[in-house]
Amino acid sequence: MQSTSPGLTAHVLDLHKVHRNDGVDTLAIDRITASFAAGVVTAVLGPSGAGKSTLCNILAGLDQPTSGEVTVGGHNLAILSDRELTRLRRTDIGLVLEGADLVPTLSTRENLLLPMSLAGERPEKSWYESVVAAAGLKDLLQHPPVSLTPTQQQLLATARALLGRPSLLLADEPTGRLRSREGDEVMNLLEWAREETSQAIVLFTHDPIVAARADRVLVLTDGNIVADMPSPTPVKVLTKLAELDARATAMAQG
Amino acid sequence: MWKASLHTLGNRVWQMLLCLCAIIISVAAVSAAISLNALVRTTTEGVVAATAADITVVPAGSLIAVDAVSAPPPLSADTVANVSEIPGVARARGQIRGDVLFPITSDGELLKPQLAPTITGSFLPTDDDGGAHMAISDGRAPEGEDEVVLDRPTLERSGYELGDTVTFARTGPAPSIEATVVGVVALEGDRPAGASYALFSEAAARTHFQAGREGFNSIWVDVADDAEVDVEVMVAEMRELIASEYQIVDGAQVASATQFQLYPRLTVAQVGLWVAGLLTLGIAAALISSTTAHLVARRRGEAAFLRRLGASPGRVALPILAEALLLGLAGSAIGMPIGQALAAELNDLGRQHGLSLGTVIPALSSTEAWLCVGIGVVITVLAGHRHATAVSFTQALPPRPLIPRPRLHFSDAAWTSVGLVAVGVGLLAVGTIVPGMPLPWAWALLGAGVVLVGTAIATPVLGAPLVRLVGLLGRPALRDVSTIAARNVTRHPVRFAKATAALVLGVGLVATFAVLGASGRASAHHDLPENVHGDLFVTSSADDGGFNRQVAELAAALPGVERVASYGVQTALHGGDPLRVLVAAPGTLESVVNYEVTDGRDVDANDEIMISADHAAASGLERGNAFNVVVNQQRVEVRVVGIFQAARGVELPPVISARGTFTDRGVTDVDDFVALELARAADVGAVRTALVDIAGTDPLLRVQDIDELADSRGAALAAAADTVDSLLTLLTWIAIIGITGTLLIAVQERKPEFRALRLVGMDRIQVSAMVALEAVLMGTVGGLVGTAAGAIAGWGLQRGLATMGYPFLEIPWGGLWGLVGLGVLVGLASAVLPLLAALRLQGPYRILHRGSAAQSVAESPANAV
Repeated sequence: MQSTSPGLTAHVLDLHKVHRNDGVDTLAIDRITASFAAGVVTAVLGPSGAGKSTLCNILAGLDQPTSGEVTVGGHNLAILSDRELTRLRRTDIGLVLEGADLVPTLSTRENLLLPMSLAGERPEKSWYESVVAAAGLKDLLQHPPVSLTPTQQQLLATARALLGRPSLLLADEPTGRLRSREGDEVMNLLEWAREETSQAIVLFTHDPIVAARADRVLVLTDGNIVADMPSPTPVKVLTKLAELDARATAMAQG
Repeated sequence: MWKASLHTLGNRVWQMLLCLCAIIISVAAVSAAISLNALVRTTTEGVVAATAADITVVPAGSLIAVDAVSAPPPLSADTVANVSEIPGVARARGQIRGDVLFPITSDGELLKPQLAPTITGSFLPTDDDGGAHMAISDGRAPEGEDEVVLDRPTLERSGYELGDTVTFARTGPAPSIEATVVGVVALEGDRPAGASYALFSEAAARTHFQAGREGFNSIWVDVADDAEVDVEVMVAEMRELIASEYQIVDGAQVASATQFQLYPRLTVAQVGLWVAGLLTLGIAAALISSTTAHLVARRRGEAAFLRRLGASPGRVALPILAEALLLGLAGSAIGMPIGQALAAELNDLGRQHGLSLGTVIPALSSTEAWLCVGIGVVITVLAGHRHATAVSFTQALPPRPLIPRPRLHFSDAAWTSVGLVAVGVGLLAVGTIVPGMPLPWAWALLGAGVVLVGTAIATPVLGAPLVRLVGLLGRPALRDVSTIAARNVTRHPVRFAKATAALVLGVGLVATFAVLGASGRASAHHDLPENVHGDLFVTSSADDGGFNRQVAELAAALPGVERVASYGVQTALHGGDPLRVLVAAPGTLESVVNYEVTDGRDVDANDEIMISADHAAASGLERGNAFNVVVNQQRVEVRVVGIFQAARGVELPPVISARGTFTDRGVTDVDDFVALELARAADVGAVRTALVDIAGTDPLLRVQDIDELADSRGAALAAAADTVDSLLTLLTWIAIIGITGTLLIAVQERKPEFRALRLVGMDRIQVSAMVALEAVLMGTVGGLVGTAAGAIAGWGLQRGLATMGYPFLEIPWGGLWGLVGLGVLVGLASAVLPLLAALRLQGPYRILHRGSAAQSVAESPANAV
């Protein structure tokens, strides 16, 4: 597997995904094309059912598209085996989900090091200390994750994803189960990561205020990208959402 | 509700099969224990039925010990006729009771004695008025001099058919008997089990057991149903007609005496069986509960959904309980006959070592059958009820992000059991460390039991260091896989203990017997050469009865034999109890075995006795005391001239006397032990061959050198160890199912964790390997902890039995490591299904979706297991 470089982006081309469940087809992603640049935090904003998680899973190599192409760090995910995808997740892709997905039998430190440990690697000491300090976990390293607060658990999961310096960091509703102020801590950590690593960060959220903290916002509705907003602010994002809502209402009324 | 239950049936087929297997094995184990108990009971009933008439006339003293009485003058046919004339007597029939016989099988093997000896004598044919209780079920009654009828199980086991000639070995000086089997005998109303019988025609029985003398040695009296006379009055009238050498007893007395004769064997067998049964029940309950929890766990989502729709807990639980009931019934129905087959196998195994409890496993009575079914059904339904009614509305909601890892607290059963183990070790030590402690073996036995049971419960604590060590050792090769696997093993202490209980107990028991057996052999091999004199020995495989003294005489004449010494064992009656007496020519015993006269002197003349120090302490007798014993129905005053202490490793009866004490009262002289000392230049092999030729005339005789003699001293223990070994097979299967079930539950519950591991880069093989490693760790730890506990228990028992033939401790390291290896194999076998279950998790995405529907493990009813 070739190594990644800071300039590489993740890219989806004409991506289409239909979920088939008990013979019933449901459209999740409707032929979208997008690029995610290094050093940029991109927020994918949309309501429930818009296709955010499906897009996240496809980018993470957890799910296969029905058609279209997905490239991460120069690798076409469609042609990689399960083993190669697993290796890619260890090294090139960082993933943070709404549930922190920590291993309860390991300590905070062991959870933090788990992906690198599985890859047989150790982080640079200075980088490790920086990540631990940025996540505010310095005094909690020996604790079992169950003794952490939900925010600390989410910070731990985010720090774990950052530690291996992946070229692509995917965060699916990382603040979804946190209160707004607690969510800020996670967002601060992601912004710190962008500054420190220049990696491509893709944030999937339904919260416009959270999305407005990104460098770029893609609005996803019914599997389509309906807006691409560079340099967003909360007002811009909310205004855009209102416009889209009004347009949708007008179309519905004929 | 019911439709939903049927609709989801396919989702839990494997769980149902696992649960069914658990019920089958558990019920089979319980059924086997009950069947063996029933066998013991029916054997006793069979013996009593064959020996107890309404009133029986037998040689006085023979009910206490058959070999305490030589044949008194026979009862004439006239006497029998006169007895039948007594008012109230329906019929009186003369009978000849025989000695103990050992059929030789068609393969030339000795058919070892059962729990009860073979009942021999004359066949009582059925009267026209239906008076007799014996019936011929196949063939015909014996008529000629060389004809015999056997019970069917004995006939089948001995490998003969009707018309074949069977050889019967017998104790004492009398030669073997050869007779043609002409029929199969069955006792009226007798269950298929019971004692074994070899019954001859009256003439043949007279020849074999009464030296051809006319008359009978017993009268079988049936009392008329409408008798107006009390039995006591009838007995008094009979007393006038019967010689004083005979006693007249009613059926209850015969039954009581027969049971008394069987009592020690019976008690040991029944207590052992009940202990095994209770242990099995405990393990079975844990196993069924564990697998049922797994089954119910599969339906948590469905049940919670129905609860949210408004179904009451009872209605939700009902289909689950119905399923548990059906499984319980099916498992019990299959398990019961398997248990009976298992009991038959165990009985056959015991028979090969002379520990057989009876002939044929009886069909379970309706009560026993219901007990088996009840145990299987009740445990399954209760386990189902416990877990089904614990389903809450929130079961199917998204899981909490993290499952707390239960920690071991001092209040936990596992820690409490560490205290139990400590108490057990203390009990093991107290019997030997504290001087003068009475019954050291009893303390040791209790301690061994407490250590084994305590260890089974305390395995999560005792095995934790080993689990951690394996986790660390495996880290270089397996990285986090071994770390996480090790921590998962100790994650649920109660589950861990339940999963490994059968393995720990089984391996522990086997290790205990292995240490004890090796110690017994080592002790015998050390002590016997020092304290038993001779190069070759002749002994009998029958416990009692001895053999012809001619063997010693013929052996003395063999070239190369320098000296032959021997002793016999006879039975006297003292205070109504049998008293075993070693008899030897004065001055010869010390050339056979070492013993020390601690007080007084050796026996010089007839009617003088020496008693062992233990017997003196128990009976209060001292040197110089004189007391009466009954020898062959004659009162003899014997005088204690000395107190002796047998040398270590030498087992001697409690009383030593001269042969004349018995032979002068008409008792046939026999030997029980013959020792040959060979000349230095003698060819041992040639002498042995010649000696085997001499002994070959009696199938019961064995020719042994000192090593073989030492080996045979441990034969009884080896038989018990073999039986335990066969139980280990059953416990191994229980252990495999236990560990498999536990890990299947874990796989089911830990899907969210597997998702996390897959997301951070653990591949499917690694996740599966982690689950497999957990199984191997459980098996290995169970094997190791059980073996260690068994070794400690064996050590304690050896210390407790130090003065009873086990002075030296010998640890059979090879065997013990083999048991640890068995634990590893159990772990490997247990890994298969959980491994496949983990492999079925296709990938993190699949887990992601399934995980979202999974329930919180903390709220899981299975978590309460």
